[in-house]
Amino acid sequence: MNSEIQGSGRELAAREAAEWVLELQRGSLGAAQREELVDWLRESPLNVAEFLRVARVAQALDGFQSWARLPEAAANIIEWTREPAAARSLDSQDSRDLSREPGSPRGVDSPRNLDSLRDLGCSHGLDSLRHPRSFARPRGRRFAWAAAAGGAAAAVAAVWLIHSTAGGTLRTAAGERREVTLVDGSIVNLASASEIRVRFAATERDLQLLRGEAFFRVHKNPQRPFIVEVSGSQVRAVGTAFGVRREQTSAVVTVVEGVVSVSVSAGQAASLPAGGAPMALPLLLGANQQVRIPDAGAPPSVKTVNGSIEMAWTAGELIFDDEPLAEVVRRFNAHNRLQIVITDPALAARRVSGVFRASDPESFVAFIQAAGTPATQRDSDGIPSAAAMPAARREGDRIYVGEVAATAPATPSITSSEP
Amino acid sequence: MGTTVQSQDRLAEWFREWRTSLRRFLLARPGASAADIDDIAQEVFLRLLRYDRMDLVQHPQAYLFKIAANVSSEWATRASRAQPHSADWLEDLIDPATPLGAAERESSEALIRGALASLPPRTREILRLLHEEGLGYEQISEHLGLTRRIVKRVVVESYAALRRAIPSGAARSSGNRTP
Repeated sequence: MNSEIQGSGRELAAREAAEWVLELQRGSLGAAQREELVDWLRESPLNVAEFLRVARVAQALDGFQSWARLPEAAANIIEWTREPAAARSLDSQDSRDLSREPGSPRGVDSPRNLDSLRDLGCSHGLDSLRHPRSFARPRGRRFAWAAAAGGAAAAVAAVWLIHSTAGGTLRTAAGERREVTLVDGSIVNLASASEIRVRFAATERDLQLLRGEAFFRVHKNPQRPFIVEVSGSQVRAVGTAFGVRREQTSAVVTVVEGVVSVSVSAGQAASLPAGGAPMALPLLLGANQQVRIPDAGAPPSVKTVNGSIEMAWTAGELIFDDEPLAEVVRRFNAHNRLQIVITDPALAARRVSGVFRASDPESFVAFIQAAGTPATQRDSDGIPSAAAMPAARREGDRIYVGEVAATAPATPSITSSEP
Repeated sequence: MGTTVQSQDRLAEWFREWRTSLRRFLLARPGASAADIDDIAQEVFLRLLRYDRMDLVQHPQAYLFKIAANVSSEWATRASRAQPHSADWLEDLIDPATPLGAAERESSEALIRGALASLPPRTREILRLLHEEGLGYEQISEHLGLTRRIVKRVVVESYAALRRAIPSGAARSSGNRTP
């Protein structure tokens, strides 16, 4: 436990150091940034050490002259084709970031050997997904299908209610999603079937996630820490963006920007907090780190994730990269009233990649049916034959997808009502 | 005001040459292992705390590397350090690079090549554009059709990963290239 905290502290310092080095390579820093750098360096010897290490790496790479002799130098191109899903969601993130300056016009000062890379198709978001020929690996096929599902999704995400609140309880019904601006300027995105309690005091901003999932974009105010309590653990932030999710047996905290400190409660009680004394050592999480805190009192585990992809639901999207269908369906169900049930274990184990509208489970079911069809049952364009598709059957708020025999009499391939 | 701007420009230029002082920091202690950097950093950190914050804010990275160079050379020679307060010491930082011998260069190139080979090809390509082509990450993101955030993340993560993979000796190969 202890070493894990230290380890993550060093990793965090290394990442921050890398950001500084990258920043310094661009040119001179502004006064405010220089102050920030000095304060950061004077925060900890660890920061100093990692800055020196990373600077040395940058220096070594600057002097490196054998780039051309690296293995498979020309093979990069295929790797890029996996990027569009992420790139697209991150683009929408970027457009919200007002501090970002616009890029220089394309083509200016372009070095000779970049032209070949430009035609990879990864700069066009979903467009590139519709041209399977740009994918050199089978994996690309899944993206192509994702695009088909996305294109079919005519349903436009609902309009989010925005209002101000200083305190009280915010909740969403199943299938509902809300964005709320709090009085301090922080923004909360509430996922389906979620509930938070807000209590703002002069010295602290206290919130509790009672159920479901929420994403917080915290308005910076060092004098007034922003604290989210989930299952007895506390997540503390100053100015940052992070998500908190209650699952059946654990709480999950995902950092998208900045740093948060998580105090894990010693005795994890599934319900509420007040009594549980937080552990002495808070866990520091940086961008793209995710901690899972089991209710049972097992030690929390930290892993690296793509924070923006994890939080894509706030923009109405669910993004998956090679994840088992069972997990993908679980995420879909968390965001919708309509619940998908996969009845075929083999189908549930299939791996899925793609970008989907969170609010459109029907299109996703169509996607599962198409993607779940074996390659031998497709025509030369990869279009599956209807007879070979896994069946889908709707009963009230549930859609069963899987082998025909498992759930219903043999009615192949029927999706539910139109969106 | 004019001097501040000028000195800023000079520092920007210096930073492009920063490998020089870093190289000095490393050369002063040729045997510096990865673990030693933690010890050096501890002492550098304590000295950073002793300086006036506003002084440091003028030229943070210059102070940092100067102090690091001092600490490591002290450790090597046990000589007393010069007080780095006059503006002249900045001049010292921009000294002509000393070319390395062919054998030395080849062995450090091989080390870096090995470290880079462990990274995914797309990551290597971003690093190559950054360090060989000298593009900024904005330009890289534009040329590759990725968001800046992704490019930045790839660089940040690969720097963090490479810091373990590249031993201190390897960094000495640099300093010869002019920007």
